[in-house]
Amino acid sequence: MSLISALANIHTTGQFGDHEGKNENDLLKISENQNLLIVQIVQYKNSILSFESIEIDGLKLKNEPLNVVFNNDTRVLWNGPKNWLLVSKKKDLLTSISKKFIETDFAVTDLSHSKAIIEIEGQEAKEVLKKGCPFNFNILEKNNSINSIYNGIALTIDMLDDNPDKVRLFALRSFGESLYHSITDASLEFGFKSI
Amino acid sequence: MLYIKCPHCGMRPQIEFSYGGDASVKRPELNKDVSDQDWDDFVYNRKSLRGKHLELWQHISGCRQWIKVERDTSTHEISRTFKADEEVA
Amino acid sequence: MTLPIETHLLQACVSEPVKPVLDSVVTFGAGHFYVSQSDKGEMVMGGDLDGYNSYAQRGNLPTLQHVLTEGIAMMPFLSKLKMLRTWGGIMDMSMDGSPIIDKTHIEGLYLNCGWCYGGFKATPASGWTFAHTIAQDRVHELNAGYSLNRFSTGHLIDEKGLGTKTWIS
Repeated sequence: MSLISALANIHTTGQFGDHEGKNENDLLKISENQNLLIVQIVQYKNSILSFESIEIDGLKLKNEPLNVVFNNDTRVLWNGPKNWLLVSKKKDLLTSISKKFIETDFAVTDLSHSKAIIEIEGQEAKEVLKKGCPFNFNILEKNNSINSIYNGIALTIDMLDDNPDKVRLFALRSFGESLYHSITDASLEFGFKSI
Repeated sequence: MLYIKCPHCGMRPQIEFSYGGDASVKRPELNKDVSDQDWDDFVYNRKSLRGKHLELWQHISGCRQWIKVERDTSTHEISRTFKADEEVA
Repeated sequence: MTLPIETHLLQACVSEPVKPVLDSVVTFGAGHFYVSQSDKGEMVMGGDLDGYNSYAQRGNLPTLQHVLTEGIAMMPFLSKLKMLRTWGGIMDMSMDGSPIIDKTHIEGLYLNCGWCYGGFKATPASGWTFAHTIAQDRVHELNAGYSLNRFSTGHLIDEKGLGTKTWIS
């Protein structure tokens, strides 16, 4: 089943802001991402099970700040101590996740329908983030992720690439339109292409 | 803006955190008789120190963990941070 | 003596002077914001505590930004004003947001404290009842409720006071 867009009401394609006279390929690109499986996996505090022995889509969880373990389809973001956010293009992973992370030791929650996802690609992607979030983005490297706040909106930032910079932002679905407004507003200065 | 070094995540801006008050306050032990005075001290009475102050913060927009922060209330300088279950020497 | 009081930080700010636009004090009830215009034309504004114990007499910008966001939500024209100066002061925040006017267990020691953010408008009444408390060594019926032991006995005052934990309410 494909998901209903969280941003359909405000996301329009085209070029906006200070884009005139600039090479279209160099412009900041802003897009919505849908159809991802998003699952939160939390190991209970009293659980003594080794999470490292569990493999999901060939990946093993890592309890390390900023860390993202990944392959072409799936990324597992560190959310907090023994708390991860799994994001995958493979929608059918959910069944095996629920099976492997047994309910006596893990809380597995499907959040696919409760997030709005915005992707920003381009040289100025970090500059856009800096405008609304006081985190030191200079230290955020490729395949790092953080939870923070952008203009008062709680969000998760996943750094997908650094040549050029590409970030994926997750916010609560109900805050999606506000975040989209904030992000596009901050991008006007650079000019951006909405796709 | 204050920057707080979360013992789980690293250096983070203050707006990701929520304040939880004096961390030296201990709840009277469970399942034991509690005098009114002890309960009063736990719920209401505070030392409100000027100088080094050990306090609770929650990294609510980050890893969601409660942490302890040693901060100077007259300069706002943060000297040390600890995990919630870490003993402070 | 340990009191049910914490010392907190409150900021206020004032804009450049403008022509008369506001002839009274306006507060933002859903949050914590007030604004008035001084005789010189400056807009005087303030609101929330910074939220953590402090004696520093200076604050941080996130709170100021939050407070002014409330202001701009109410009066959008405020966004055009330039800020002239900001300052911070320290507040004796009681745990229920109401003051304490009482005798103590130490002979000759009387308390009139915990006025939190405010108190100026209550000064005449507080002075009068405090004088009564000292002169007669017993509380007047008007300040009987503002006792030090109301926290331990549970006789808290039925009014919307905002104490140290303003972020809860």
